[in-house]
Amino acid sequence: MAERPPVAELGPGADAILRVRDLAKRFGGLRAVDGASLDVERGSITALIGPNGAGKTTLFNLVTGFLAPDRGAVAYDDESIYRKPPYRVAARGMMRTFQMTKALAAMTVLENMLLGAPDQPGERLLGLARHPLGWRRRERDVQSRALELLERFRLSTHAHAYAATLSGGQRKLLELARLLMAEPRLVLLDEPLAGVHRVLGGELLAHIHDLRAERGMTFLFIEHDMEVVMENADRVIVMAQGQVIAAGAPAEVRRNRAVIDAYLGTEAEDAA
Amino acid sequence: MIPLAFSFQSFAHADFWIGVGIVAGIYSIFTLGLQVNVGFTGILNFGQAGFMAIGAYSMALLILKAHWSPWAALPVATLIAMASGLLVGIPALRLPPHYLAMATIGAAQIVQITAQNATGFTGGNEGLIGFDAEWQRIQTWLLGKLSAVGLGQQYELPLFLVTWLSFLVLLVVLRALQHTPWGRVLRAIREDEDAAAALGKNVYAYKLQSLMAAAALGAVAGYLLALNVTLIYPQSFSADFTFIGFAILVLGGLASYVGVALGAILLWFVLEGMRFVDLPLAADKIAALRLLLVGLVLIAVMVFRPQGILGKREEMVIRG
Repeated sequence: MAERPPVAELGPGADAILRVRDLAKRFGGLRAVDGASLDVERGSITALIGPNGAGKTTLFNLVTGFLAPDRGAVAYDDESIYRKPPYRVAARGMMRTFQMTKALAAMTVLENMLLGAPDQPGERLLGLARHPLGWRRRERDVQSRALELLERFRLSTHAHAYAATLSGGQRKLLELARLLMAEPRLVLLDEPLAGVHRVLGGELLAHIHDLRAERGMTFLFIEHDMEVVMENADRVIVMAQGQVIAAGAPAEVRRNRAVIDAYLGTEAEDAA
Repeated sequence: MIPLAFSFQSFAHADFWIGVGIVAGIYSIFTLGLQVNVGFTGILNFGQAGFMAIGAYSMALLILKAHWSPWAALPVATLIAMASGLLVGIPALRLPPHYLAMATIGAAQIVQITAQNATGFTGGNEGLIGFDAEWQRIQTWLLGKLSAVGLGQQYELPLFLVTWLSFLVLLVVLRALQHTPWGRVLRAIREDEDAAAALGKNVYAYKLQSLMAAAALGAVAGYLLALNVTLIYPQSFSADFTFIGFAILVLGGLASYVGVALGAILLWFVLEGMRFVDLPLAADKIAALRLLLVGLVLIAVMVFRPQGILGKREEMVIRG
């Protein structure tokens, strides 16, 4: 049987919003990400799957600038973002959430949202010195957008409560709603459904589909629940031991021998 | 039984308490800087006394050696202190939190030791005097005004008024800043800098700004300290100053600027009030006992009101 090379790269005609080539990161002797290459198609909902320790979260951290890669290339919208700091990556329109939700608990839900808005002159000391109250107009615009989004995410009744009072699932919704303030084009979600109540999880998935339909946004999400992956992703990328071992339509990937081996291997280990 | 007695006569001595009020005011301004860093940005600045020293020495040297007018020396000395904040922050703010604390304490030590040893420049341990001629003039003028209301004999009152007026102005500015989107970003960084970075905020730049703001506030405290003792010498700027600042911070409450003033007043009035408790002990033992009492008050605060007098429990964010 002729082995095809890793198939995570899209064909020449396809439109990739994110291209990762030969990305690597070592922690001491551990090759957490070991030459991973993949493409994320614009407008897709792509799932990134793989057994625990496959390097999925590390890959997210490398791509979004939270960790510095040892080697490789990362291009977003055909421009290199390799080793760019997180705030620059975010400013270009690629934003992420975290496995451990980072709702800012000591701030109100509305403040969390306002923080997500870009281009606020009041966030710069020089801007404040020049126009001490100029930011208020922007704040009013931003606030009405924030309230609309909170309405949409069914969080508006909590707008003035500290985010600490929200449930785990609501915090995940807030994290997604907050980054939408910046109108990103690619969103990376690290286990958005982990520990989330089933009803809220369903809501979150519905938001993802709606946002793609309305705004053409692209999503790349890490998920362990295969049912969720098969039902929601148009494309699945599989990682194991720091490398991308397969990619394709959900049904294709499901039948892939390498994928089955990778999962069976860990399942056997888990059972032990 | 330890016989306790208060000598109420000296307790009622106005001049003494005005002096305590000045010290409390200077510590308040000094600790406002710590509040910006620790309470609102979540960075552990243990070098505040160093920035205060740089401000005070720069002011005095510009007046004494460069023969500048104090009105030009004060803003420029403040800028020098801010630049030193930048200089310390550029490497130190890349370090994890505890290392930042060590790096800043080290930087402040360097400042103090330099001041002790660069004798030709700073006067070494003998210090610098004679930088306050303009202040003497203002003081005399203010006392003239005060004598109109029968307070002409309170020689410390002018500095008291200037200190607390400065505090009020800085309080208003800082509170206003805290309610801007800039202040909001600082609070986000305090809680979770990765979350702030993921939302497109340049965390490092904000931390540098926070440290520079603290350095400026330290410098202002340094000017007032210099005017209060009319002498600038290295021992005034020891790390103890920073530690007492932290005690005030905990006492008054994190993330509250008004709390800083309450903490400073409470701490200094307890410390100085102890002087009037007659104990059958040697003076040095009483001095030690006074600091012990501060420790007990702090422990009591941690146990019964961990957020401090005015701190918000919801906003208590202490990171490792």
